[in-house]
Amino acid sequence: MKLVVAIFQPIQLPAVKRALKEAGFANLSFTNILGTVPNMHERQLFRGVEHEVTMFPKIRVEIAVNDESVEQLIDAMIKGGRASGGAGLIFVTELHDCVIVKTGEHGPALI
Amino acid sequence: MKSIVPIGIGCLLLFAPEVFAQDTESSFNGLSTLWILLAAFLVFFMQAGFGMVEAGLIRAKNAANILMKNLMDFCFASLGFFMFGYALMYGSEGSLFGTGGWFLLGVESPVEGLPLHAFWLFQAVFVGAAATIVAGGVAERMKFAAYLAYSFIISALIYPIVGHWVWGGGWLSNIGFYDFAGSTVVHGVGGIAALVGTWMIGPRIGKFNPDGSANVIGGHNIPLVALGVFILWFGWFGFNAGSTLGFDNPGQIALIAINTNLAAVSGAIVVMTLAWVKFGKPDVALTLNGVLAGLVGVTAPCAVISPMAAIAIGAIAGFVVVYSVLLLDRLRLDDPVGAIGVHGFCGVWGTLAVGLFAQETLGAPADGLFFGGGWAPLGIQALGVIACLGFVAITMAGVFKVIDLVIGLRVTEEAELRGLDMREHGIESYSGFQIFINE
Repeated sequence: MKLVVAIFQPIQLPAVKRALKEAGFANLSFTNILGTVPNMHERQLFRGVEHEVTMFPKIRVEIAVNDESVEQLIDAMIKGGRASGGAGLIFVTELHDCVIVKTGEHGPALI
Repeated sequence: MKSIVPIGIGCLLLFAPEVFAQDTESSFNGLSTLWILLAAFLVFFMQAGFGMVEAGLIRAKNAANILMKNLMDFCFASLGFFMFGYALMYGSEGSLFGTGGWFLLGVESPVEGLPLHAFWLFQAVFVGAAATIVAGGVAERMKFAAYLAYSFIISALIYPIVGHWVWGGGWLSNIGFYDFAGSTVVHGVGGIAALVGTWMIGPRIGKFNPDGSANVIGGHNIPLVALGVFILWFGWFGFNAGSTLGFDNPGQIALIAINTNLAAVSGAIVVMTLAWVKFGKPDVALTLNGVLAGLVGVTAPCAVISPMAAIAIGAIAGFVVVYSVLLLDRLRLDDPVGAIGVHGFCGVWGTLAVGLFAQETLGAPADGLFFGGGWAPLGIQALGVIACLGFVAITMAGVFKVIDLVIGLRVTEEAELRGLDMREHGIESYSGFQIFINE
């Protein structure tokens, strides 16, 4: 099992969700994060004092899948990301186990 | 020792009339002056109301920007109205515009017993209200510098000319057109300018889909919207009841106040019910707009109608505002705060309502249709609406076009996505909070 984590710009979420849904991955969760963007920085001005801003809003989409579906999922994410500006970074991490609380089932009871 | 300063200031204020005594002409009517100044202060406070409503109905990343626009449009409106606008509006009795009184020099108060400065201040806060309506329609994507230019021009030129036609001795007042406190002059003008601006600047990124359907771009702070609506409601008592320009008829002032209140509540109840029936839930933001719809609707007729009529007018304004919001979505016009519906459409309704519900016995120039006056008064009201709003639409289209060519109306796509607070002002409204997206 793998946990696929993708970082996108907030504006890309609708397109990414659409692409995922079309590929059959209806379930996802996302969090709002702040992260650096290469070569991007802003000047914040507060009552005459400057501050350099280097952390910008992003979203972090997480989906757990079986090994067989990983390529499909990554393709869907790439499709969604490219349809909405092209930014994005995808990490694939190893997922050792997954447990459903209600039934107590272990293992690949996911997509 | 610390109390010396407040006591000292208190003494100064107590003896201020003696300290700052000026040469007065024949007696000013103290009570009228007090009333008009108080009303002016109430209407001034409506700027805060507009600010909170607009800020609450847009996204957090643009809150400081819209509040800055709200603050500065009042400043530029005051300046523009002081330098040029008052002269155009009240300087003299030409049929199209006034002359004389530039920079408020060489002109006398048009109202007996009321100091010129009190009259000017009362009029100036109305200009500020009209100017700030547009900020809501073009919110989240208009360049700040462009907005400043717009606010000065509308306050110095466009609004005063309309105001002159209706209140300053111009041609509309001469044919019996009646707009007591400004459903057309303030709200109609602001609403139609917002319509033109919204149309020209285009919808926000992500508002409409290619197939024409609209997406929700939710306001970030409903409590602020509610606060803003209550502030506006409170200030509206000055807006309407102060337009008597004197305190000689307390009965009329009280009638205006009760009508103002009843129209507001009926607008709210109708919108809440309509939304509940039509959409399934009592929609908070829409109901808050309903309060404002009722208030705008009663602004023109409030002095010359019965309280029952006020309820009816507010109720119909509620229908108007709900359907106008739906209509604007259909027309792909993105109005984030409902300014066009509340001020534009309901302003028109309020002006026409004079032609239906006005009573001569209460001081109207003619009875409305429902009181035996026939169709003529309604026709005159309609003519006035078309003339004023047509004038504003054409001139504002020109003004916005010129501003677009010289400064540019809309921010870049990148700035719009990042947020105008950071891009236009370099400030985070909510520093220390992480601004979420929820979709």
